[in-house]
Amino acid sequence: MDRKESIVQVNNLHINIKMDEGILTAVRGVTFHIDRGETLGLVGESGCGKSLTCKAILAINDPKCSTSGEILFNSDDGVVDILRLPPKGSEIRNIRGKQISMIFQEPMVCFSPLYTIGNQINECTRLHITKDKKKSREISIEMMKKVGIANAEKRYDQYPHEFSGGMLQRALIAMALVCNPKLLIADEPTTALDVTIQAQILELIKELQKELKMSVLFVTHDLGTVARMCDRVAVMYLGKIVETGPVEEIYLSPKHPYTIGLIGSVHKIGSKRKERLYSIEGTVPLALNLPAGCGFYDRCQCRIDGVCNVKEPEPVEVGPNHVVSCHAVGQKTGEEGHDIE
Amino acid sequence: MILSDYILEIKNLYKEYTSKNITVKAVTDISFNIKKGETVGIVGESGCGKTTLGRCIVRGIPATSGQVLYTAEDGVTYDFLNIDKKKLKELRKDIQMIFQDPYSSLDPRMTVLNIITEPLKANFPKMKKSEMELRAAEIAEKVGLNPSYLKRYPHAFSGGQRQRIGIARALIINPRIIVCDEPVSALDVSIQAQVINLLKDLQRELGLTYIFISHDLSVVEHISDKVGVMYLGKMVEFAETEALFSKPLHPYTEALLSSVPVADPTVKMNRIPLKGEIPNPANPPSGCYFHERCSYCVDKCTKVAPEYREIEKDRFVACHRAEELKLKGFTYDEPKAI
Amino acid sequence: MVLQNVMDRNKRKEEEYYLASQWTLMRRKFKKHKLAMASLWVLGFLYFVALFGNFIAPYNLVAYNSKIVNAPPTKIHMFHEGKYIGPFVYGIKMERDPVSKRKMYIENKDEIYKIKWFTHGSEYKLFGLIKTDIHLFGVEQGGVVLLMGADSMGRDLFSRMILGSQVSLTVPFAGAIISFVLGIIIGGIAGYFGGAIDSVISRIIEVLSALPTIPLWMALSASIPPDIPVVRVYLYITIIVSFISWTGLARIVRGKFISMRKEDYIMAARIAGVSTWKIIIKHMVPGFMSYLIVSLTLGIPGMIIGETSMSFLGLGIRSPATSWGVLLQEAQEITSIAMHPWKLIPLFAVIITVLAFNFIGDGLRDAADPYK
Repeated sequence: MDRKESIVQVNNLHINIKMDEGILTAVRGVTFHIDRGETLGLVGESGCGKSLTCKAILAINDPKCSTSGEILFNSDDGVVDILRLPPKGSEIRNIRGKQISMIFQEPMVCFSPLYTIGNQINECTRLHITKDKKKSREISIEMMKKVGIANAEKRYDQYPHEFSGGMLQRALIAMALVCNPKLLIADEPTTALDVTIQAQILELIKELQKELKMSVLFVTHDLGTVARMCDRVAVMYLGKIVETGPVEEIYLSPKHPYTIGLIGSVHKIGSKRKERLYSIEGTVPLALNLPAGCGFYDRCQCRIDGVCNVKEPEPVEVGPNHVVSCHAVGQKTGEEGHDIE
Repeated sequence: MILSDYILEIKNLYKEYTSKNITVKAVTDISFNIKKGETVGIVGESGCGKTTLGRCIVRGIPATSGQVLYTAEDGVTYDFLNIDKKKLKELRKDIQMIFQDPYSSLDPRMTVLNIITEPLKANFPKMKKSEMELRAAEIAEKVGLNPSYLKRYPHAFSGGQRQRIGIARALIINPRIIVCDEPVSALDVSIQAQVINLLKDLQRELGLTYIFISHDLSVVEHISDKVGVMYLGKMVEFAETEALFSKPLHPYTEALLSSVPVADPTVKMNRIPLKGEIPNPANPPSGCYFHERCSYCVDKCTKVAPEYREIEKDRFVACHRAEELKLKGFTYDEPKAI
Repeated sequence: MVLQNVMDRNKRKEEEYYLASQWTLMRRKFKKHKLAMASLWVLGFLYFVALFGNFIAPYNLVAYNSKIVNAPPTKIHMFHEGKYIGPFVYGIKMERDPVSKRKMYIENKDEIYKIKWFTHGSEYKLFGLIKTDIHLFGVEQGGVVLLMGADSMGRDLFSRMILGSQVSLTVPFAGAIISFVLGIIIGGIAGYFGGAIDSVISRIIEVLSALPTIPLWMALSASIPPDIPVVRVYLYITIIVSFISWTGLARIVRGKFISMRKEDYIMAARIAGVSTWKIIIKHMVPGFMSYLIVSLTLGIPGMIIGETSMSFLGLGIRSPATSWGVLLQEAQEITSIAMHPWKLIPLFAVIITVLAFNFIGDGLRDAADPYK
């Protein structure tokens, strides 16, 4: 691992899925790293491969997916490549849930309706921390209090159906954090929640991150939450990271035409009301039988014929920690970003 | 029958569901008016009754009581909820709806052509097939669908394109009012912008009136002229968009606005915390439904339900302390041009 | 150039997919289910045989020969004393086992009967219409060919099995059609009207499906008068078989009606002013048709077994008319099976048919929702 302070380093990750129609190249060479205590936002539209990337880090992808590349994780016992670990072995199980944990979009489906919430949080504690029943209960209740579940002792013995959506998401966070993981993967943790609850949960994750000093990989399609939560942002399109950089850089001077389009298409309350939103024409193609060249070529306004549709763009550093994969940017490095209108 | 300024006046609309002796008030005493060519946004969190309200207005489901006064093209006002079958057949096509889920709103077993022309067949049974096809091609072009795709089935289309098909179906019988029920919530960000732009363009071109239901405040702020905020089946505030977003009068509106994540990392967020969670609509709190969670709650709020009143011209609010509270909203960087 | 061709082909394939209706998609998905496709061929073959049963079977239902009671299958030979003379059978000679005194059939190598194609035999009506006496094959006068042995009355099991399939394979189909109609109408009424009507129908369905099937069938078939013609018996059995299975279908129809009423596209049609009747015909019925066909296919094996067990118990079709159940009556005793194992052959026919229907049902179920 090149960086001492990185908690995880994903190098050239490829994920292919075999389908009836052919091979779906869902993730095509993704490289990124997350530093200690840092929040990286992984942004992209549905089908861009962001969820598969997350699951690859936990090695919980479907067996139909063939994965290659490397995922170096700075675990308690030194650096390991998660992809090289036996998928059902004890090493990965020791990492999964204990050192890396994940929260999901739908809290409702993450809990079994047959067991109490406490029971399910406890499962993790008993597996990784202590076998002692009483002690693990204490630890779990402590964690429930930490995530803002009032009446934690009573709530501990309640079933999922007695919790509201927001409370369940809190319980899910408690379950994910009870073992004090080094890396939390949050896959659209607030998409299913209402605005007011969403804000609460986001603040909670942020507070806990500071307190527990963990790194967070925050996956979402919502640019508003990314702006709130993340230190750095990686924008994914069609299985590739097209742009990555510090959050202010990405929002204030995006370079890749896709990032520009994405940020331009969100209306900001309080800004001058524009008649039209900027929009990216066309739709995301299916990653089956992709033609050569840049994946964004068909929808791009800055495309250079004869270049963009022939060769895949290489990542170019345009600022400190700000990397863009675009031929158009590569040619005009140093200039300002493309105009939106 | 009176001549009206408004194309649609919703008066004291109620919708109750009863099952097993429990009555849930999904929509309670909603009144608001819409001028022709306007867009009225309805916001609120899940379970606040905004979808039910929309469906009651189009008569997709029967309202329990109340009126929806619709002023038809000939200037005559009808109560859309209480007209006879014959008149309903005539007027139904004037008020149409666009749905949230672009997957379940199109019958997968019909070609796009059949989906789009279905309202034509129902309303103009004598129209020739060739003419219908011509109309469908026209409308497809208008919503940005390639007319050569009409023979295809819905599974050939992405979410955004499906939503365009849904819009084409609503438009083909020349409605005057369209109720848009979360039309972009299920779509990706870049596609959302396409559909919103399309809706705006169509409104300008065809003089449509929209009721735009959404939980996404930034989308509503962008598209609406007026906004109504719903909480637990009741309208708590209704005002012009900029007024509501810059100077909310109801504490719930303030809390809602403060929770919106703005897609700009330089904007600091000062969230006004809401206590507790949305109460069970089957067992709402006494007095003001919001009082348990409100940080400005006084004794009166726990006992007396506040009246929904016009506090200034075109500003309605249901809060006892609306006059005295100074609530925070968004600051608009530039005053809007006249 | 090659690349261009490949891309063109992909485009064309895509376009085909986009233009494919639900049924086309279902058919495509079904074709990928190998087992179901194989089963389809097997069933196709069985029904073909049943259709031309009178022609294929060398003997008719009533023909018997007391000289060949419980005779084993006859061997078909090609060479007689090293000389090729084409397919033929030897004559059958009965002898007593010197020890056990049991009947034994041995080949009489002196008698040679050639097998002839398209020979004349007993008269019958092909498809019940064309009067003819041509059979697919037969042996020269005086000999017998028993591909699957003979039964205790000296009747050819092979012929009887083929002729029996005409009953065993068609009763479930006729039953399926009856249940189909009943299911749609009754389930549709319950689902559409809801309320009290729905409650009453649902309770009736529950009571009916709580009744144990076999005793109910027995009770019902015991009420069939013993002296009525075979055709009427057949009709009664069909009705009895479908008596239970419609309830499952009605339930599916009712459930689909209720869940589809909430679909957005139904709401959209209503708001557009489409009449209720049209909504049912154009949206709802096509919507659950595929599910209905699946459960119907999966219900057929039950009906086959139903008919077979009724006849097996002597309550269904009666001799000399036959079905696979009737044939299996002879295999009721273990001694009979031990001494004449060929009497179990009809059992394999039942098993193969039931499995084939199940596999096809499986394939259809996978294909039923092509959008998932």
